[in-house]
Amino acid sequence: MKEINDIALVAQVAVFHNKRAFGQLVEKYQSPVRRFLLNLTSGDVELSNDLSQETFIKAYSNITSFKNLSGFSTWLFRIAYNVFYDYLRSRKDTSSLDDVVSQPQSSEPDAAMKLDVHNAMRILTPNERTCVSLHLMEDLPIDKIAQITGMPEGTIKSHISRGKAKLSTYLKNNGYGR
Amino acid sequence: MADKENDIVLQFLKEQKQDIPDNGFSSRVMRNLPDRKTHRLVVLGRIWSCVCIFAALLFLCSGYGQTLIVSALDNIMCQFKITELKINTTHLIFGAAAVYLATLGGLFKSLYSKILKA
Repeated sequence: MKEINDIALVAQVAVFHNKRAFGQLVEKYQSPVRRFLLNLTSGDVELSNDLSQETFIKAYSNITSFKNLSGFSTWLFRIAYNVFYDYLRSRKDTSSLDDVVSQPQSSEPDAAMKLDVHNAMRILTPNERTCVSLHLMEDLPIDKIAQITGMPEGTIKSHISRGKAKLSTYLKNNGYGR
Repeated sequence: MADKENDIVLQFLKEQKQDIPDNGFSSRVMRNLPDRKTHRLVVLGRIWSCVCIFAALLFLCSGYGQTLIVSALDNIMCQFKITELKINTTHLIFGAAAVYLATLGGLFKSLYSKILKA
């Protein structure tokens, strides 16, 4: 049902240029996309918002190229993933994300708690961070992650496994779960 | 042991996963969407496609078009000496109708694809 609703909205946008329909898609997917990019940028709110906005604008501009081979959310995450890595390439720094992203900025009351997950994610490599974020936070299956990232499923499983092991060590060292 | 480690990580990430409030984000996105203005040439292209399809339909449905297709089919059958089998005219018309429908379907599909790509 969810997929049918998305397809109906996409058709409205593609055929009739219905911006309101696209607005509904933005409202529906803004949280998962922004959360994903927030994880990739290690908690940089401004940067993740800019990248998220760019993601939706690209999705709108290329809506007619959506062929529904995968779900709309998968397609959107793929755009977000590409936008993020285009940003990294434009900074001419494809090494550790920690060198690229500034300190996370947040003024929300539970900022400390939010910073923890991003500090935890910092210990992972960008690929591990991507795979862990998509699989464990966005609950996407391995095959969808493969469609989003273009990585083989075996590689994704390796990244997730290593990511979990690193996070587990980090959490134990910081007293979580005792 | 591995399961326990797994549980800790899953529990932690589940706790940390929160919906991000919109706070005007969607409005900002909508304000910054590019205008999808239809280029004049694209509009002219669509009009020309419609004209061609209409002309083709008119030709196919006209008496002259029908006569042409029937005589073409007749010629083909003569070449293969199928007329010896005494094919019914009704069958010929049915065949011609099938050709019309196939042509219409193809034209429709190409026009629809063209509109979507524009």
